Amino acid sequence: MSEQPIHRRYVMIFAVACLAILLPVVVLNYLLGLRSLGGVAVVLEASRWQQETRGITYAPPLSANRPFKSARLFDRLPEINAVVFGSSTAMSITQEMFPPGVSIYNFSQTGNVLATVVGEVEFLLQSQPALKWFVVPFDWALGSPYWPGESRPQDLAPPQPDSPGEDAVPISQRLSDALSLPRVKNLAAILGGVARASSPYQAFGEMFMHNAGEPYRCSDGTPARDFDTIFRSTCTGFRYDGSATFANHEPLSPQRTQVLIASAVVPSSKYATALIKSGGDPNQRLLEQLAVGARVMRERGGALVLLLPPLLPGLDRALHEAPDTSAALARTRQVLAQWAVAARVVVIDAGASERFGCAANEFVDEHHALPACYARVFSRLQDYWSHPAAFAPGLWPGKQ
Amino acid sequence: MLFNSNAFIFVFLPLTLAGFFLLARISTQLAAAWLTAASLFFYGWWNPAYLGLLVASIVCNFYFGAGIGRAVAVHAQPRAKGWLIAAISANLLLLAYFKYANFFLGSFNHLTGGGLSLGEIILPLGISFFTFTQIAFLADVYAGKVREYNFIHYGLFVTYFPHLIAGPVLHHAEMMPQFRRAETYRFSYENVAVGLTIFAIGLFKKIMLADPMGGYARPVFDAAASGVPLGALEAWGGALAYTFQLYFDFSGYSDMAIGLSRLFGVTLPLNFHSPYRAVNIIEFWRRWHMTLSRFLRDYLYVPLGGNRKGPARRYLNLLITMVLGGLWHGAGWTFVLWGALHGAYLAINHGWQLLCLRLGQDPQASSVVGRACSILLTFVAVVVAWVVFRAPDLDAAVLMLKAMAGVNGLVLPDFWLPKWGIFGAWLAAHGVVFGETRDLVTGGLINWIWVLLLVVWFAPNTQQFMSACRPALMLPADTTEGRLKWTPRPIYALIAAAMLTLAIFNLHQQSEFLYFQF
Repeated sequence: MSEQPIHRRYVMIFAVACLAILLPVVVLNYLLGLRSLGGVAVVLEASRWQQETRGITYAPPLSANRPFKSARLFDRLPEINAVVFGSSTAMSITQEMFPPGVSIYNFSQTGNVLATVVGEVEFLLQSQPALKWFVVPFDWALGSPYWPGESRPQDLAPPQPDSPGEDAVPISQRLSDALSLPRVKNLAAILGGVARASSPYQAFGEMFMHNAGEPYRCSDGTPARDFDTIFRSTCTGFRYDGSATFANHEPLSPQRTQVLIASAVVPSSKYATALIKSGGDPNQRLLEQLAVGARVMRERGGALVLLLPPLLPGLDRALHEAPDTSAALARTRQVLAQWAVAARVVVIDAGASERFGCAANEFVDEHHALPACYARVFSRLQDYWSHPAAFAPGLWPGKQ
Repeated sequence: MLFNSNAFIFVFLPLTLAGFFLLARISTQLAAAWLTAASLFFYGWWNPAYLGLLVASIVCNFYFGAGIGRAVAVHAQPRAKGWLIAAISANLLLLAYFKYANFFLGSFNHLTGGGLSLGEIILPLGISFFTFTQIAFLADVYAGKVREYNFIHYGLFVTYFPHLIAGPVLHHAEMMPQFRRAETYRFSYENVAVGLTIFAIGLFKKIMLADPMGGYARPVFDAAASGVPLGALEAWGGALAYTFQLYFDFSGYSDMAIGLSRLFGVTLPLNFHSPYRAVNIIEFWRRWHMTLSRFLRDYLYVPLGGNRKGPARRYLNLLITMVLGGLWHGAGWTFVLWGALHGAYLAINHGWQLLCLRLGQDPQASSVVGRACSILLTFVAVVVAWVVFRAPDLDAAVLMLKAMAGVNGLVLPDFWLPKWGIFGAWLAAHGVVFGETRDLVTGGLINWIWVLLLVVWFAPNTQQFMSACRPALMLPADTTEGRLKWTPRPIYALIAAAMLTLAIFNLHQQSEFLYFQF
């Protein structure tokens, strides 16, 4: 054989082997992705199922939950008088943390920045006069309260069956997603499950052609149903009150704490960067808009509460002591304290979560606390909801 | 655009290849122009705003070069020298503004308490590489070594996308003849087979070896930067993780560049040749970033006088060359110190060899044990220098080095004690402390370290494995050693395909190459 045919054969085998692996993966994951990357039909079906069963579910993708949360919020509006806003940081806040008489929906969404949250607050202020309580997280650790600019006007109307959904995700992104390792691992697990099923053909059809798996029950008896093709049978998703189960995350081990804190306080970390760049001065315009919201809620007999979310025990103190972030963080608290007094708002300062007795294993990372930690924070606020005037405006619980 | 991205692998590369060989049927100049345009697109993908800077740099340098060439041709040396000084000054000023202005202003402000600032200056990608490449061209034009002035070929030589952003640092004398050769423009299955295989190996090294190592190194250096007192195990774990990250990242990139270029029928020079197997620092620099070493030797060390002016001047020249080499890597005192460290290492190494010769000893002669000790000593010296290179500031570097020296003691994770059985009990009985640790060094990292030590010390490198098909220029003599050799057999095609697909599945954690910042 001359050189060229040998090399030609080599290239062909190489190409065929690559295609034999990549093509089925792309096609099958693309099929799964048609639903797992979103779509109004799935959102509405998942929302309808949760309204009927009060079970745990979410509409894919897990990382973009605005349509699902909007649909759920509008279903829940007739029976609630409190809304929790914010990003995934606040997703652990549950109904159990509030006394009878305060009925919440946790409207927090992945990656929601303060400018958007203020837009959501304004929308609900204008359109929902029955709401009395707003809990607004102030995610200073993630930087968005320092971003300049105006609030972003929001329309929280639930998605309609004819509104665009799937088309919003470009095909290049769908293909990249189809080739990513988490999707490949998930596909391998799905195909393994299909192979082990009593009726593999039917199992394949259910997984690749249908919108959702069969309903099942979580360990506490709550019903659950998976509309996504990942995290199946793990009770991952949102509860009826809008809070997240974080069932797809592991709690932190105490050994990790020091490592994470050390990484978080270096000037290049995401926690330090925003503080350093902004000097710790929050966006005044957003604070003014929140002050207006607080006044309206007070007039309704309720309140707008600002929440500095709990951070991994020791992290707040470390940022307070680090030379690069110390002054900026102190500045943030100083500005918030002054604003709170002027706007007559209670700011729950849960940043130093160790003050509330939170432990490292009540977090999944540096800033995502699990319900156990939030329960410790809110347990000390039980009287607030019946006698908000008894709490002096300003940072609460103040210095200890 | 990154080599390790779906857009590059599935769209840019196939389209560029297809366009190149289709146009080559019409005209080789057209194909070269297409490749230049594709390379500019590749560069502009990052930030179109800096495309103009690159193009202006190419145009100016080409015309400066032509001016110098014309002056040299008529033996008008003063005029040629004037052109050369102006051209090199312009290049260095450009580099100084983008890369070093804020560093020098910051240092000046630190010393004087001033507040001078030029604001935030974004470093154009690959500016160090395309500036050095063109300075070498200008110097060689002046030396009368350049014969060809084809603008398209020159543009392609500078912008050629496999090397544009992070090298290898090319020499026009090794590239221009290849762009001129008609054979380059003919599609060859051999080139495709070899190129794809080398690219797959490089991508695998980057994605599957370097990136996981970076995940282990970062928290250790972060901890040092925030003043956490590290134990010896943690500091060594972090330092070794970075040592491997940098090697597999940059040598992986160089492999990818060599492989990609081979697809187009162009052979690039070798950039890495198992540097951690070097028996001394002199040899290390013949194996690490070989094209930069060549550039520094030919265009800095030799013009400074090299070894022609006595030992003392030679050591000074080495120190100057390495300090500037350090500064080339980045505008920071850690890079300067890293360069100075290597300059000192080289001076000591040369001094030792001189001493051996004066005592009648052969500095190259060594037993197996002696050779192993030399490799280990060189490796440790290199690791120590990498700590300075990686640390965000000098304080963090000192903290790391102190910890590596055992100043803060050695504590092994307590959960290792039962795992190690009798050996663990023996260690504990002999003073080794097993206690609670911070999770900076896990069992996973320890396994990675010993496996990768075996790889860098004993496994053939990419060029040795591929030596049957002349994978790169500047191949050392020992490249053909070793038994494991690639041949175009189906089994190797399947292994290469598996490596490529495995790497592709991990592209979602896409990370930049470390040398992009230099």
